[in-house]
Amino acid sequence: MIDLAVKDISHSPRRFIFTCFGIGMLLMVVMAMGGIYRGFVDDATVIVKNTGADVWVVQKDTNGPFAEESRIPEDLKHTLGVLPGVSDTGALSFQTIQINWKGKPNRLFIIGYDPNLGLGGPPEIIAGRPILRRHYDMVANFKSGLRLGDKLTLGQDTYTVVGLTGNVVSPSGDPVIYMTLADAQKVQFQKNNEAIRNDRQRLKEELSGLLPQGADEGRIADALSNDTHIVNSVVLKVRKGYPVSRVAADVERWKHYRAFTVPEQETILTMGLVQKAKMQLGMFRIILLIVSMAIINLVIYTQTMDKIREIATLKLIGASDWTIVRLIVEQSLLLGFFAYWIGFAIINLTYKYFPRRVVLVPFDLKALFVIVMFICVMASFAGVRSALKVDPAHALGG
Amino acid sequence: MKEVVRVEGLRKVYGSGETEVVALSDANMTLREGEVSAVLGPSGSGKTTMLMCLGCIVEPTAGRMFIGGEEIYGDGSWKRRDLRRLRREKMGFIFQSHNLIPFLNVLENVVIASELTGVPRKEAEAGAMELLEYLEVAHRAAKFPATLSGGEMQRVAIARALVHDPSLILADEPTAALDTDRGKKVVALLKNLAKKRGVGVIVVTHDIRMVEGFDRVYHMKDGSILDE
Ligand SMILES: Nc1ncnc2c1ncn2[C@@H]1O[C@H](COP(=O)(O)OP(=O)(O)O)[C@@H](O)[C@H]1O
Ligand SMILES: [Mg+2]
Repeated sequence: MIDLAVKDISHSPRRFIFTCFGIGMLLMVVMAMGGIYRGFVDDATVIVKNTGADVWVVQKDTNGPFAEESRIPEDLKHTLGVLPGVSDTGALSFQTIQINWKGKPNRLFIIGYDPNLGLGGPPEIIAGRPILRRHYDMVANFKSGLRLGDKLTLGQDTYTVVGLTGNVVSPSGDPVIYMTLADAQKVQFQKNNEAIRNDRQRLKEELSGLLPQGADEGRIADALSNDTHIVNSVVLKVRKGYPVSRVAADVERWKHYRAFTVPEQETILTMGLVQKAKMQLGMFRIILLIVSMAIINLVIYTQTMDKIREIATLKLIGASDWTIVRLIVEQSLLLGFFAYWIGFAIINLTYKYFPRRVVLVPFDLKALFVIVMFICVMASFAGVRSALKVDPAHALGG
Repeated sequence: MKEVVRVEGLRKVYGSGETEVVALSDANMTLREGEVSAVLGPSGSGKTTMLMCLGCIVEPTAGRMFIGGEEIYGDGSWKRRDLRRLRREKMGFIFQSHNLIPFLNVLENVVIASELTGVPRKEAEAGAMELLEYLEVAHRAAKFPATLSGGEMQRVAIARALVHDPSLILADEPTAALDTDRGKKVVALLKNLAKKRGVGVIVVTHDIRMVEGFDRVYHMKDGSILDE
């Protein structure tokens, strides 16, 4: 049989092509949103993956260190390091900062790690060198906008970018910069001079009534207000063959801290941080698909109404209902088919330039293709219905 | 000659109550293979309605109808699908406004009528080309209908009506869109082809100049057949 659907479209392709591009754009956004969601999930867990730890130890009763605030003493790294099964440790601090960089606000995520321990540093150095000095060295995500040799003033000190690492981002997508734990603690916990003076003064006044006569209030206040030996998490590597859950259970039982295994930590991050985004993006995607369906429906219906006389003629010369239905449904499917590939082409050309990481998952795209085809069939119903109602006698009338 | 369609006491009423229109009343007619008949009558006399009944496009309100000697509609066992099959296998239609499919080229417009009956593409194309050549429009085979003249379009329409070897051709005012000379040529062509192929033809027209040389001429007025 002559392919009536294709013949019709190729005879007057304008409307078809425009609609293909329009729907293609919509589908491209649908694909992008799916990719952004996948990117969210990836970003949320990239630090957990890169750290290479098996157990994350955080403050008791918190879901730290990313989902909730967690503060624990740094020296836990020693106590926990000698637990049975633990082969390596790391002490980490995390902090989001926003700097003004070359006239633009730039959000960065500082990870402080102890270079003397095995865990927590940058996964790789793609340019420059790793952190070697105890102070003022930084390794930055190459996408952070910072380059080798850039200097950054944080608090009272200036830090230099000595190396670049891969695209490590915080759970909310901000590029990571690595520092030594000591530097990061300073940035995070050390107050400026005025604040220190005020704090010390207040502490001194509060202590004066409590302390016995002759005590040096000033020195005690100093010691109390200047403790920066705090970390957000201590991470543990478990020896091969030793059960990770046992180490986690040991930490919780004996040390009164919360310990997460990697899957637990990933669940917190993806469920907690990403769930809302997932729902929101999912809703937008559904709305866009409904809009696409409405447009396809309208266009196919109009295409069909424009062909009423031809359809009547075809019926009159004996074409079966199936021939007519095929003409319409095929056009709808072709529309969806081309729109899908247009969307596919655009997203593949542009996804790198999105501000957030877009991860295109083949399964998602295949599923979308099936959904689009299904939508096209649904969208052709209105056209099919009116075409089937056409009276062949219409071909003879005037 | 073999009987193709016979109608007895055919009646067709459109609408009901106040808006009722009796388009056809007590019409009798027999169409045979190789016989060319004309229905002549003024506008509104029921010619198109008659043709649509004969062509199984509309169901008559009352009366009996036989195709190839077999009664249809009689016991309600004839379905719309059967009528469609009947139309695509046994009948060819020619319209006042040619009704070619605008998005198919000339050849495809003819081929499709043949393909609808299950003839393979190659065979359908060969048959179509042969007819187009006979009708002297073969050189337009790759053109779209919109680029043809009225006479050419009507000749393509004749080819489409004939390509699947029907036993009856029904033509509704086939010359209305043409000038007298061309109209006469189209009618003559139709008659010759029908004779040659042994096809029954019925041509409906309101133009008395077109009805020379028909085997039978039915005159219609207000839904009734006056005489032959
Ligand atoms: N679908 C219809 N509904 C109602 N009335 C109709 C319909 N078709 C035709 N008629 C009426 O039936 C009568 C016969 O019409 P028609 O068969 O088209 O005559 P002709 O072809 O001779 O001009 C006219 O009065 C016309 O108005
Ligand atoms: Mg008429």
